[in-house]
Amino acid sequence: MLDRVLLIDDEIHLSEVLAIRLRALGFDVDTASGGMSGLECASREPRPDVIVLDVRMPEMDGFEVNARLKRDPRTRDIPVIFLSANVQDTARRTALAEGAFSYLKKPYDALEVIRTIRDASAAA
Amino acid sequence: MHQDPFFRRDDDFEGRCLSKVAERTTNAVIITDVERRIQWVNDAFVRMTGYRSEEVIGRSPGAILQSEETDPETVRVMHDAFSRGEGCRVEIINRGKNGDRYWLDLDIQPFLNASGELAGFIGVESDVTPQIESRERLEVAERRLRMTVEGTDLGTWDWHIPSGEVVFNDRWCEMLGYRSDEIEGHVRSWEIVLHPEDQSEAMARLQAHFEGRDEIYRFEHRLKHKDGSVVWVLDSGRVYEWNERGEPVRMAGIHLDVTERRRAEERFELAATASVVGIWDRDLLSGANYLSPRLYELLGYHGEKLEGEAFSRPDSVEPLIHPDDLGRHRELEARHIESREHFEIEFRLRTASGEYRWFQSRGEAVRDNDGRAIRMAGSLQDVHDRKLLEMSREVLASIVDNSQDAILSLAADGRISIANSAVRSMFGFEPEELIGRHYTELVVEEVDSSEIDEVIHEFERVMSRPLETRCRRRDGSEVEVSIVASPTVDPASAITGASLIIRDITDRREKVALQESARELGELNDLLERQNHRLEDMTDRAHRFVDDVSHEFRTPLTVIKEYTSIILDGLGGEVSPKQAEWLRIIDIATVDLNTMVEDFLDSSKLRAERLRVERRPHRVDSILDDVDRLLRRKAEAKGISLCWDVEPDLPEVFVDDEKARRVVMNLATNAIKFGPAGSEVRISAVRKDDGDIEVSICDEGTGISEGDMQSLFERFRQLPNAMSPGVKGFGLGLNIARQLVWLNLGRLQVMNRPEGGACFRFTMPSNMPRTVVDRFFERLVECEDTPSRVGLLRVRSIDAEVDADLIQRVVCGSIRPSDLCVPEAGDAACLVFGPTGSVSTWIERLRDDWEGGSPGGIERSLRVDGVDDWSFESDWRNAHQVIQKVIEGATHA
Repeated sequence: MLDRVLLIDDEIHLSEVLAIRLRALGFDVDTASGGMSGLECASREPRPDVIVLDVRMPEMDGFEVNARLKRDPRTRDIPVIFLSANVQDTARRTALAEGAFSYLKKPYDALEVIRTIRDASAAA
Repeated sequence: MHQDPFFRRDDDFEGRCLSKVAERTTNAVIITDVERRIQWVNDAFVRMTGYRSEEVIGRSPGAILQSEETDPETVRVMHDAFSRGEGCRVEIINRGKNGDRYWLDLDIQPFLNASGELAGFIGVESDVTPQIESRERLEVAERRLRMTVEGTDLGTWDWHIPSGEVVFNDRWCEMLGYRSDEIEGHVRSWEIVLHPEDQSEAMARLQAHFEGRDEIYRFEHRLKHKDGSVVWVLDSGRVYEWNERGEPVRMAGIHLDVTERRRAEERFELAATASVVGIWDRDLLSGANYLSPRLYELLGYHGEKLEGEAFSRPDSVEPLIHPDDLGRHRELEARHIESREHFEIEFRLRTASGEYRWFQSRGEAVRDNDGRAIRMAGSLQDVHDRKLLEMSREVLASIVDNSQDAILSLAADGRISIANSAVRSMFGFEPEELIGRHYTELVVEEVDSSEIDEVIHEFERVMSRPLETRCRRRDGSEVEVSIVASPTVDPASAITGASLIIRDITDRREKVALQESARELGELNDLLERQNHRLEDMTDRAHRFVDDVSHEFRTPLTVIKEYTSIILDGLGGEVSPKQAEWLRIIDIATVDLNTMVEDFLDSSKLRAERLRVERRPHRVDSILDDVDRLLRRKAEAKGISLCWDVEPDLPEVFVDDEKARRVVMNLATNAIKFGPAGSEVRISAVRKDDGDIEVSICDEGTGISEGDMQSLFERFRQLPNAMSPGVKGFGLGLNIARQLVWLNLGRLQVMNRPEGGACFRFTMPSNMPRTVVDRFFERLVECEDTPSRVGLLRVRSIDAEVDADLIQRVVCGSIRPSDLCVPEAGDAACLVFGPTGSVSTWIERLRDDWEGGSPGGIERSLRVDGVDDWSFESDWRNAHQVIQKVIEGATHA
C-alpha cells in the first residue's frame, strides 16, 4: 500500500496537478481547499501518512493548520511538508521551528517534492 | 661819746676789746687827726687799698685815695662837715694802690679828746662796689626801658592795688584820646573805659594772676575812646610786690594798641563768614589748630562759636579725611612744607552727619628766617557737587571713549568736532584726523544720508530707527554699519549739532545669516527626518508589496509550469514531438520568469539589507548537484553542454547554502544565456592554498568588453548580447551574485579567458576557523563596492554575558552586526567589544562614503569609544583568537 497524502491548498489547480502526478505514481491522494476542511480530512480515518500544506490561505493559514495538527494527538505525528510561494527565510524558519518536516518553495521541482514526501513517509 | 672807752689809752678791758674789733673788722678803719692826717689804719684798710699803714700815716686820705670821679658835690659836703667838726656819710669812689676803682660807703665821725675838744676823725669804710654797680645797671635799664616805652606806642600803668592808685603814662592816656591830666590816677579810670562785655573776663583773668594760676596777666580787650570809638588793647602785666600775707601790692603792665590788627582780623572774619570758604590755621610747632566757624559750618557743625559748645567737634580736618585720600593729603602737605610745592588738594572729608563730601583745600606755609615752616594756613571749600559732576563726566567720557561704537559729535554744519577711539578700529582713522571733516566723507556716496541731515537740520527730529548703511574706511574698503543720530543741545537748550553713534554690524549680519542658515538647516534636517521616516515607511510597504507580488506571481507560474510538466510527461495522453518541443519552451520560459521574480525580490532585499544569511558547514557537491539538476534542461534546450569539474574530497564550506546555490545558478544561467549554441559551460570547484574553495563558471562566448567590466555588477545592468538578442532579464543577476558571495565571506571576480569567453570565479571559506576568521577580518576592511577601501572603525562595548551568543549568531549571520552597532556618519565599520581589554566580538559592514587607505590602514583610523590607550595591535590579535574560538564552536555545531 502506497502512502496516503493529503494536499491542503486554496489553489485547487495546484493541488490537482500535484495530485495527478502523485496518483500516477500510485499515491493515495486527498485534497482540501482550506485549513478547516484540511484539518477534518487529516483527523478522519484513514488518516494521511504525509500532509503537504500551503502557507498563505484565506480563513486559516498554514502555520495555524500545522499548529492545530500538532496539538491534536491523532494528527500530531503526521509529517507536514510546507509548500509555499512565500520564500522568506522567516517563514521557513518558523515552519521548521514548529515541527514541519520540510519547507519547499513554489514553483517547485516535482521530483524534489516527491522525494521529500517519500522521505517524510519513511521517517514517520 | 667822749666817754667812749675805745679811745682810752689805758689798759681798761673795754678799750682793748674795741681796739681788737677795729683791727679785725672787714671794714677799713681810718683814724685821722683834726687836720685830716692819718694816724692809724687797720688791717682791713691795708687789704682794701693795697697801701701799708706806714705809707699812709701822716698823709690825707683824700689825697691818697680819692678818685677824680667822685662826685664834686659829695667832696664839698664832706669838706663842709669836716670844717664844722661834724661827721658825714657819703659814697665815694676811691682808687687803690694798684689803680682799681671801688665804691665806698664812708662813714666819718669826729671824736673828741678828754677835754672835749675835737681830736680827730674816725672813718669806717665799706666796699659797696657790687651794690653800686648793680644799682647803676638798674638805672641804665630803667632809663633804657623808659626810652623804649616812650619810643614805642606802649601805654604803661603802675598800680598800687590796696589804694587803687595807678600811674598811667602819657601814651596810655593818649591811646584813648586824653591828655594825661585828664585821667585820674586810679584804677577806676580803666574800669570806666573798659568795654562792658570784656569786664567780667578781665576781672577773672586778673584774679587768676593774683591767685598764682596765671603767671602773667594777659588779656586783649576793648576800651572806649574819648570819641566813643572802640580801642583794642593788648593788656599785660605782672604783680611785682606782694605783702607778707601773699597779697598783691603793686602791679605794673603795658597797653598795646591792637585796634588795627583787630580790625583786620574782623574784616577777615567777616569775609570768611560771609564767603563759602572755611579757614584753617595750624601751628606746626605746637600743633595747635584753628578752624574758622565757616569751616565748621561747611563740615556740618552749625553753631555760633567754637567755645562752650555741647557737642565735640574736631579741632583739625586731618581726622576727617577719607582713608583713601589721607596719604595723598599728607604727601602734598609734606611736599609743600619741604619743597614749597603748591599745596592744593581735592579730598573727601567726613561731615558731622558721617557722610563724606568732596572739598578743596589750599594752603600756604608761614616760614621763619631760616625758611622753616612754622605755621600753615589755608582755605577749605566745598566742591562736592562739582566733583560729582566732574566724575560723572569722566565716567561718561570713559564710556564714550571705550565704546565699541564709533561716536561722533557733529557741529551744525555737519562737520565732525569730536570722535572717539573706536573710529580707529572701525574706520582706520585716528580720531583727530576726522576733526573738521564732514561726516558724509565717511558714508559711502550712494547711501542716502538724508535722514541724518534731517536730524542735524531739523533738530527736533529724532531718528525713528537706526539707519543701516555702509561706511568707507580709510583704506577704501567698506564696512556695514548702523547709525543712530540724535541732536545735541547746549545748556541753554539751543541745538548745537548732532551726535552719531555708528555700530559695526558686519558681525551681526554674519551672525544673523549664520543663525538663519542654522535655522534653515535645522528645518531641512527636520524635513529630511520626516522624509526619511516616510521613505522608510514607503520602503517597508514596497518590500511588502514586492513580497506580495512575487508570491502572487509564483502561484500561477507554478500552475503553468506543473501543467506543462505533466503534459510533457505524458500524464494527459500522448504528446507529439512537436508539441513536446513547444511545451519545453514554455517550461524554460516559466523558469526564466521565476528567476526574474526571485532576482527582483533578492535585489530589493539586498539593497535594503534585509537579506539574512545563515552560515553553516555545507558540502560543496550538495550545492552543485542541485544546480546541475535545475539547469541541465535549460542548457540542453539551448544546445549547451554543462561540464562539471569538481575536485574530489573537497572540504566543507562555511556558508549559507541557499545563497551559494543562487550564486551558482545566477552565474551558470548567465553563462548559458551568453554561450553560443553547441558550446560548453564549464563549472569547476577547486581548493585554494589559502583555505578557500573557488568555484568558476566559464563560458565560450564573446567575453566581456573592457568598458562593461567596470559596470558589470551594477543593478539593472543588462549585458549587451549580440548572440542572443531574445534573452531578456532585469540585469540583476550579476549584482545579486556578487552581494550573495560577499554575504558568504567570499569574493567574486570576472575575467576573459585567453581562449575566448568569460570566466566568473567566486570563493567560499572552507569550514576551518582560521579561514573563516581571516575572511571576517577581510570583510571588515572591504567596502561593499570597492574592496580596497579601509574604514574607520567604531568600537563599542557591550555586555559580556551576551557576548558568546552574540558572536556566534553574528558569525553565523543570523543577526546582523549592524543590530549591535550602528555605524555613524564617517564610520566605515562598527566593532563591538566587551569589557575593556578583552575583545569579544567585532563586526560590521563597511561604508562606501569613506575615502583612501588600504587594508593595512585600519590601525591608523581606529576610534574607540570610552577606551583610552587602546592598542590595536595587541587587541587585534586578542580579538582574532577570541573570535577564532567562537567560530570553532560554530563550525563544529
